[in-house]
Amino acid sequence: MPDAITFGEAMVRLSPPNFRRLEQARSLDVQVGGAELNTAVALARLGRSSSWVSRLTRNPLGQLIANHAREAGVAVDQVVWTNEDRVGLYFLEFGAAPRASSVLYDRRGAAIASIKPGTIDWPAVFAGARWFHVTGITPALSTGAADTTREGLQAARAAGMRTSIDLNYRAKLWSQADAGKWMTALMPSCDVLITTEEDAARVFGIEGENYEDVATQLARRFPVQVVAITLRENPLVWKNSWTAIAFRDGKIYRTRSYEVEIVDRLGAGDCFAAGLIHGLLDDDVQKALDFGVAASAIKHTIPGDFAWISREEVEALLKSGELRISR
Amino acid sequence: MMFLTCHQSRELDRRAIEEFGIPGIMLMENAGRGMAELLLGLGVNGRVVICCGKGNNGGDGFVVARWLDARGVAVRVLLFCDPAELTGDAATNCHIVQKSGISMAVPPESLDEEVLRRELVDADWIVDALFGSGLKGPVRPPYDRIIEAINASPARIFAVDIPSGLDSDNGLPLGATVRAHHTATIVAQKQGFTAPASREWTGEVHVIELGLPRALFNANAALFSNPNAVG
Repeated sequence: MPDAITFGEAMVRLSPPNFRRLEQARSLDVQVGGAELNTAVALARLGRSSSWVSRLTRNPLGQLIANHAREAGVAVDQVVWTNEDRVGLYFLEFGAAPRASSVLYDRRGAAIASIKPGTIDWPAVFAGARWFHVTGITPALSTGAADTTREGLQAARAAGMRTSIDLNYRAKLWSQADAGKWMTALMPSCDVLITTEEDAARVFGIEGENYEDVATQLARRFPVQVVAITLRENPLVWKNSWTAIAFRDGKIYRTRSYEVEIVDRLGAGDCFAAGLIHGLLDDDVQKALDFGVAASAIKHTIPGDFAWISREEVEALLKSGELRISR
Repeated sequence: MMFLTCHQSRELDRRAIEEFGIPGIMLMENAGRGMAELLLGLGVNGRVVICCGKGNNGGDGFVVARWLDARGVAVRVLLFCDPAELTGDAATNCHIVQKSGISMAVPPESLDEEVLRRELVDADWIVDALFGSGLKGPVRPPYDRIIEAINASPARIFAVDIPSGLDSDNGLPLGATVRAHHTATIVAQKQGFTAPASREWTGEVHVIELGLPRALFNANAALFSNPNAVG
């Protein structure tokens, strides 16, 4: 039985090598990515059993996604396969200061956008599981996907599981007003809220003097037990400082900040969610925060959306904090 | 796809009743039943709070309440007017709800917002049956505060015909306006729903058919042939 279940869309990611712009591309590197699948992968790499639930078109691209998930240790036996719709794609162009990296979505009409409540047998999916994780990307895909996300969260609560949500606001998918309306409707079924200061402002209109204030306001407005806020300073495209805070029962938890050289930052936030869930499965907020930030700091250095990390290297980083060559 | 102006909607109702002899209460029944079935299809996992106003929109709300209750859903009706103010088909359906033992309350006009917030906070759905497509100006107090409380609730919001407070002809808010997750609009989409910005208020729009005779549309083709006609 899996420790954690995640639900959402995964896409085939295509990116031109060597910092080329898409217009210059003669070949494209193939990866697989999607916020919730990325989190399931990172959980598996941290030693937790995880399962990813979605609706996927039965064709070679759908199989590619399932194969990549399986390869990374994620169970896909609860995926709902269909002969209809399509598999979403996204194109990623790597930037370098002052040109930011950029994403071009080609995901409209993907199988998960046609999902409706009742499609997934949630009690069967959740049998024996302890944690359910979603993000704000799935409800942005369609009203049916939003209703199904809510249905899943309610079913997880009914099954006695704990739940987490990463706001992950995507301006290319929906308006701030729609995001606020739907995310407010999801919050009563969530135990843990993961966000950035920027997303809290865009989705809920919550702004504060500092991130502690934002976390406090979020915890006051919604019945969540833990609020986690990731903090990124990005003076350069390829070098950021990266940390996070967590808030529980009026107390702010902190961890160290990492200077990260970025090889590929996509999926870093999803890896943070995985580290956080990993610690919270042991009811340890400090461990959750430490693992979340350290694991995602390492993720920044790994090409692709998936965090090909190990628990041992995360623990080693937490222990030493040094960057010596492992021999 | 057919889009109706407020004038066209009213004309359609009038002709169905006067020229085809369809009782108004039958139209209300079909609308409310269709909405209850839609709601069940969208997934009901808890209490449904139905906020009714004093017009036919509220009447549709009473029918939704009866059908959901019949399907075993926990229903709570909040009627935001004196029941004595109700007339016609809406009054009839309110009486049925009252006699059916369905939980119903009439909040006072002096509205205690904290009491209202508690009524709404743990609902799975809120059905907005306050105002329909005939609204011509901003809603008056205390309806603006009722709408604010509905919007602040974490429940999903299901609008009957049109979100209360939205202009059905241009899709713009007239004042305080319900932000629905789903809207069940009757017979055809409203003209205002062609405006992309209206989606922010309507959410996903579903059309509820009333079983009107095809001849009604054929006989009035001229009326419905111009989707930009404004009444």
